[in-house]
Amino acid sequence: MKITKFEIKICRESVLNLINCHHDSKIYETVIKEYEEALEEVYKKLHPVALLSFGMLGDLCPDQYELWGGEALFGITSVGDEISTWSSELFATGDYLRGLLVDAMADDYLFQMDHQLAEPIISLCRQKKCGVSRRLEAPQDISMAVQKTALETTDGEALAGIRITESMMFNPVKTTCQVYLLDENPKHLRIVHDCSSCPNVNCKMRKTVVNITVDWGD
Amino acid sequence: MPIIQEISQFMQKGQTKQVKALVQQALDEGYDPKEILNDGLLEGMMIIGPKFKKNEIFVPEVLVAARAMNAGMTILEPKLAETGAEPVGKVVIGTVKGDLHDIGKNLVAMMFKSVGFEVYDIGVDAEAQAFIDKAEEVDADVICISALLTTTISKMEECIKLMKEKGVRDKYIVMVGGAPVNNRFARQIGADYYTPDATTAAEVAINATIKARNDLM
Repeated sequence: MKITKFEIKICRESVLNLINCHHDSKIYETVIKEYEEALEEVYKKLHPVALLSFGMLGDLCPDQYELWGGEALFGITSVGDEISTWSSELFATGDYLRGLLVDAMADDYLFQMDHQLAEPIISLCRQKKCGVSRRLEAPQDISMAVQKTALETTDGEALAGIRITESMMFNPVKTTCQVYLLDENPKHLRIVHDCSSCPNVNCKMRKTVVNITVDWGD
Repeated sequence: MPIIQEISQFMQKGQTKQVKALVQQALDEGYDPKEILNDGLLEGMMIIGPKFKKNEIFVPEVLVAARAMNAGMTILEPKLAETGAEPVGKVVIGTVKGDLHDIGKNLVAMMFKSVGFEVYDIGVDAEAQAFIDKAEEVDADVICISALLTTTISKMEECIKLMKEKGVRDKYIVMVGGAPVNNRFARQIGADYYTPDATTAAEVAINATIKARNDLM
């Protein structure tokens, strides 16, 4: 399944939160102005695409998880590379604030795309008469190698021009991958991102308490 | 208020137009371009850095200040070139092979520029040899290696190994950074420094460059 139509409005407050710009900042109004000026162009440079396909997970499935039916649902979500190219160009010309804003706006869009995938995922599961027992993401839940499997399973290169480096990194950079383990119970639909298992403890969108052990070193 | 001090203050507030106008005015009034740079623009950035580290300001405030600094530099650079002024140092920066992330690297490059380094950005997905080639070509002081993935940090070690093989490791200050990197890893792979953020990177690079130059004397 290839999805290119998304009803997404970039959330200004989320973007400002992502870049650590708060109401009490002396440059708050400057940032808002920059945001509004960039917004229209950002939408033009976002090329959203999501791909969903069932496929074999095989040996990549971590031992602790049960692989029901041998298959998993692979998801790839991307906003394309034009937005990242623009951000880099802005940095190169010294327009640092806009460069960062544009990057954060693309992140917000990408996160919202993820939420909007819930409906098509549920629809695909209904057709297959299964549920989702767990959502896995690399590298915290599963090997990075799964990104290559996901790209191949979804035919991401042919359908969306997404490529992968030898280090298992997607190109375009703003591309994410999700693996949904299937469940025999169609009522089980655990498809949302689990903040508690995510290693990105500094993420501004994190919705769980973080316990950090400090290693003082030698 | 003296014009140089005004430049510093407007720069800290990110007032690009005022900084450009004041830099031009200072030049017209006969101020030495080096004085405008050191006591105006760089002085401003030296105030911004510690404020960021103390969480008094955040990344956007640093960015607008750096943008104002950059705007001032567009006026100042031709004049500095005429006087033969040397940069604080030269930095080669890039993201390792297989890694296409550049926002972190861009932020670090921005801070280096803002504190007076000449920055040579070799981009993302950079081969180990490319770091060495560029550093040799421009006679760099610092090589700054970025990686954001657990699958690509091993490439940092490859860069340093290659420097050793080519006999050039000790010519450069090697700095590493990125989400999966820490001090222990930096030491393990033979880097000189790991820094957790862009302002610290610039600060460490300045001190290390000055020390390296003094050691040569």
